[in-house]
Amino acid sequence: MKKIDSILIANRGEIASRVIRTCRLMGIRSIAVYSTADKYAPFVKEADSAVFIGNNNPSDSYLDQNKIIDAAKRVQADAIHPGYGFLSENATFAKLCVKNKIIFIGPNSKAIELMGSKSKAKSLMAKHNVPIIPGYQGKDQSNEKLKKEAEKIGFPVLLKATAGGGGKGMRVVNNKKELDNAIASAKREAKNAFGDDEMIVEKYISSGRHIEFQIFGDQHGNAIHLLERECTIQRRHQKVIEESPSPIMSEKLRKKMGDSAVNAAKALNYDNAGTVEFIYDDNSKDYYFLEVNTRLQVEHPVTEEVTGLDLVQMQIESSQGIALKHQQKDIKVNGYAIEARLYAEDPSNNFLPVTGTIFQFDMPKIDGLRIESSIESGSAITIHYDPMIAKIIIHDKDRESAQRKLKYVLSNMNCLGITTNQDFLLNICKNTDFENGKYNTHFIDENPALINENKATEKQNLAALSAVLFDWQKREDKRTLLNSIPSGWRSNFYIPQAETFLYKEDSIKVTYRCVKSNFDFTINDCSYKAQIVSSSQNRIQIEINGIQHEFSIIKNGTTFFINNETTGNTVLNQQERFPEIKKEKQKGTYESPMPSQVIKLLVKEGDKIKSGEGLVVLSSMKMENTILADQDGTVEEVFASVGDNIEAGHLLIKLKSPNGSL
Amino acid sequence: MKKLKSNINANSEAFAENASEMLKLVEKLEKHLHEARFQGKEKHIEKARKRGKMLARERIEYVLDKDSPFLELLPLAGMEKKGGFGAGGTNVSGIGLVQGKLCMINSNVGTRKGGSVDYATVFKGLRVSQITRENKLPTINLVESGGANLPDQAKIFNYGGEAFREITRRSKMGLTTISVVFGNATAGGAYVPGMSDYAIFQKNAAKVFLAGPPLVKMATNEVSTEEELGGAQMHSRVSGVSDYLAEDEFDGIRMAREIMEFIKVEKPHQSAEKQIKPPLFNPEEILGVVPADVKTPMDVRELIMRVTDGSEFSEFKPEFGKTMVCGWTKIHGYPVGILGNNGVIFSDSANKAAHFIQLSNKNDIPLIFLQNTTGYMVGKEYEEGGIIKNGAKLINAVSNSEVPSITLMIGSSFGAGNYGMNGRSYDPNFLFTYPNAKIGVMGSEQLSGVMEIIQRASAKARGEEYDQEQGNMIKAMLISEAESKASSWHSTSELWDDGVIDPRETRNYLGFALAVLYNQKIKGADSFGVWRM
Repeated sequence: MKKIDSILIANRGEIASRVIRTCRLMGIRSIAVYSTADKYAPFVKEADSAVFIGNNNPSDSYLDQNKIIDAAKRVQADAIHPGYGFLSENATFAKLCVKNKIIFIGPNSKAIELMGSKSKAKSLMAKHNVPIIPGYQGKDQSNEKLKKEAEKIGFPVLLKATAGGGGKGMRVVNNKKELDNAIASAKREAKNAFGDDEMIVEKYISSGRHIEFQIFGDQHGNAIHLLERECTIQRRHQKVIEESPSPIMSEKLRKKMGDSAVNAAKALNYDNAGTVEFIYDDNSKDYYFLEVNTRLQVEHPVTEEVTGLDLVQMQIESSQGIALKHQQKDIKVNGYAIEARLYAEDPSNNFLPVTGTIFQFDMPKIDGLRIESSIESGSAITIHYDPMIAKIIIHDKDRESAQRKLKYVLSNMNCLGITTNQDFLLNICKNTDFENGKYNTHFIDENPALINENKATEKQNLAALSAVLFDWQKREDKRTLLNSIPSGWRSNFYIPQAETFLYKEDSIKVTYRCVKSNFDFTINDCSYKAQIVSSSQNRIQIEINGIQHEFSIIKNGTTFFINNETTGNTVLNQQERFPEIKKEKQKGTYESPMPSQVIKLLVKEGDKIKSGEGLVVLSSMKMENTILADQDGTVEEVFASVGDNIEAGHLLIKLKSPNGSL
Repeated sequence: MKKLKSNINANSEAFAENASEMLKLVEKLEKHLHEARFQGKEKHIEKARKRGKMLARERIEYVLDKDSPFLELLPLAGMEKKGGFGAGGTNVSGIGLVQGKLCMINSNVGTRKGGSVDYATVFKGLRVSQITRENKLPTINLVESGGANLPDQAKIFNYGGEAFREITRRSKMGLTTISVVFGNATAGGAYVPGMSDYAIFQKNAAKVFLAGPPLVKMATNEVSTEEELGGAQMHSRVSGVSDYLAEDEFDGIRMAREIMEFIKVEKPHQSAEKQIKPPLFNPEEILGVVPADVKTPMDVRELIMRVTDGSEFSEFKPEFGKTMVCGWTKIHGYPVGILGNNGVIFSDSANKAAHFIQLSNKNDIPLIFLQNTTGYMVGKEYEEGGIIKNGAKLINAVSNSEVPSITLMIGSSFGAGNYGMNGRSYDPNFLFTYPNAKIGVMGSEQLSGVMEIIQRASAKARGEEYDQEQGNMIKAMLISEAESKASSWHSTSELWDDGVIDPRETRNYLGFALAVLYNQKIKGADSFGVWRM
């Protein structure tokens, strides 16, 4: 048996912290690796030692296989835990570890390789009695063949381009009559977009659920499953809420799907933690194999809570060649667990990630709450890495109790300083269909109300009121002259004090007058009577129209991050009293719309450009963004180079119009 | 410190009746103040708005720190018009905080008669300038004025020059003046920014020249535009009359605030205490406590206990000279000596007050005078008792006292009592008036009575019959004339005070004024005039 006394964690953030925790429990020395940005991160502090591996660009640090191996050798690590993402499903890296006599904590490289190719995976699974989604992919692309296959599969079917992506060349076809037109237009679109019009025909599942099974194998040919996880609630193809057990699961179905999952594991000689993903058809009650993830999943805590197992410990043991300690019959559902992922992102802006500093991060203390996070007050969310802030996991006796607790946590936690999806998560929990377990993969798209409406409402008015009084109290504390003369006192009163905030695009006009420590507010034509009950550094208790409210507030520059149980999370921008006079944007200049990294310069000085052509490609938090010319012209000057990290508003390129003048 | 106890039943009918009479006067005050907030005709305001201009009072709100208190001075000056523009003239003046510093702010009302200067505005400006100098304040001028109101020019020309002289004299003392010009500042008006330490001109708005195009054409035959003669760009780039070029009004105000951040100001003599006890008695009750009719007597302690911190009062010589109440206390955390009348001044009360003023000077404590007196006691006994020489001692003490002071007219202010109690001509740093207060050589009835006696004597001397009917008519006329001349409205219109105030706000006015007094080193007098013994 190979011994593991030390583990290098080739990852960062919460998963690094998670692995370190189990290492400590097992008495294993943990070694973190870190990039420049992570130098002071909690996971680096938590590890027994840490090795610097390079700059913030993942390909220079967390994705650099040689640097990781080198680091492991320098600290004489027995094993490497890859976490998820980065190198976790990289067969080459798994092999490189073996070559360097370092244990790779994960499945054998062959299993990773097999599952890396979707088509190979599908045909392998089909051979091992795992249901795969009916479909046709082949050289014969005649209309007759495609029609015949479609009928064989049964309507509705999905037509999609083999070379596809981004929904181009994709059609849902509900019946035979629509098919001819659909094939023609999908092919045309595919040809235009990818230069290739080869089509795949597949069964279309109009109402599906994403259900996955945690599998576990050892090096002695044993494999079991550790129950299912329901991961149907997704946005931008990323999971938001995960639960176990699934609200639709019956013992019979679990047996059937679980057997399929174990079959998949056995087909791969699977020898570590993995996940078999299925799509479940609500209408036909059939389920189909999607893929196997050959790593520890983000949502593994849900499984840990309902099974009572430590998956990281099992991974470490398994990779040392220790046989599984449990048999399938030992695995029992204990209560119910749910996980909500807190992201630094703006749900109302298409869930685009945001960067910034989290000035206050705290969670209510309640039984059954587990937080997986590597964030502390003062941590930054940067453009370099995933914007996940924390996983909030609740374990309780049943779904209803756990959901109630999750709602409570989401209402009473504070994560201030950055825009997050906190309210969005809360809205999901409050949704009746969600409460009843009635949802499918379209849930978020079909419930736009989950995303806070853009209009300033009563809630925003209260948030603005709290921001004014929070600021007022800070000023009042500092006042040394006339300090006991009432705030804003006038011998000849003229107009009340005024503040303006921006809530997204809407301005919130606030006027107030303080009379004998009572405040009369007018906010967007609504009147409020308010009184400060108490206040401290980041908190203010206010009686508004006779009801006490507690607000947690972080003020960063002119931005207020406000959290309150009834108003939720609100970000308000205080308008400066004397706004800097903005010079009008010079024609022909292009600036970065958000903090980004310059990925590619598409033009150089002197190039002639047509309106609509790309100038520069920026990347921010894994999202690419191309800046386009809005006029014809010649590139006069380029102010950025590839690899630059730039702030929002950074001047990138200046164009000269064709006739020379602008 | 001893807490004062009230002997007034705030639930009595008399109390309620008096409060309702006082409330009527306060409502009248509010009505007058409302008129004083008038900033010109609707069409002028409309025009200013269209050009993106702020009104005079809005500019002040922007100059002030957020939530800063603001003490407006002389808001009703000139309210009886007499050919002028009415209450407040064309200037809004007052004290507030800019960058946490006490600062005098003057804002021209450009939307009222183009901000041109009438008789009341000139004298208001001179009084404000005196307050600024005596209390060592920096000044921010928000300028938009067409200069002298020509029909008034004969009345104001000579006095007007003092305004410019004062700017540079203050500058010599280290008291900064910042002028932001939003519009016209022409002819003499050009010397407001011209004399200032810092001048900020607003682009495409400021017009600062000695003579406009017509006068230049008349004088030298030169053809010119207003922009060439006095535009902000020219003055900022060529003449150097302007130090800063503001893009717009906000920008100009922002610059003035930016400059204030680096202005050296006086070190306060003393800061207010952090924990301040409010009075034990409701200040609202002042309306019922202070008689609306000045003929009704009152115990001034009833007012003091509704104004001082914790209603505390360390009374001096309480058993002696009982018509003069003296003592030390704190208001809004500032130590202060208070002298208040409980009726007519006798020799012993005058001596006690003179003693008290000397002690306060020894200890560098400012003084507050609560005036409610019909004057010094008259009659054979009192003349024999030397009321003149004792009254003289009080006037000596008041005249030569060097601690700053505030006078508040709460009732009668007649005869030499006005002088002994630090009236206008004794230069208190601030002087405020209650709306019920009366001022004059003597009460209107005494005055008409005296006149009747004299006329009867005169008729008798001529051997004529005294015409009772005509006498009554003359008497009634005299009473009415004296009454109106004695009123607080006439007083404030004539700039005999710095403002008529709502009695309920007394504590805030006094606290504010004390913060201003304490804004500089306080040093009491070392010597006085000869004490006649």
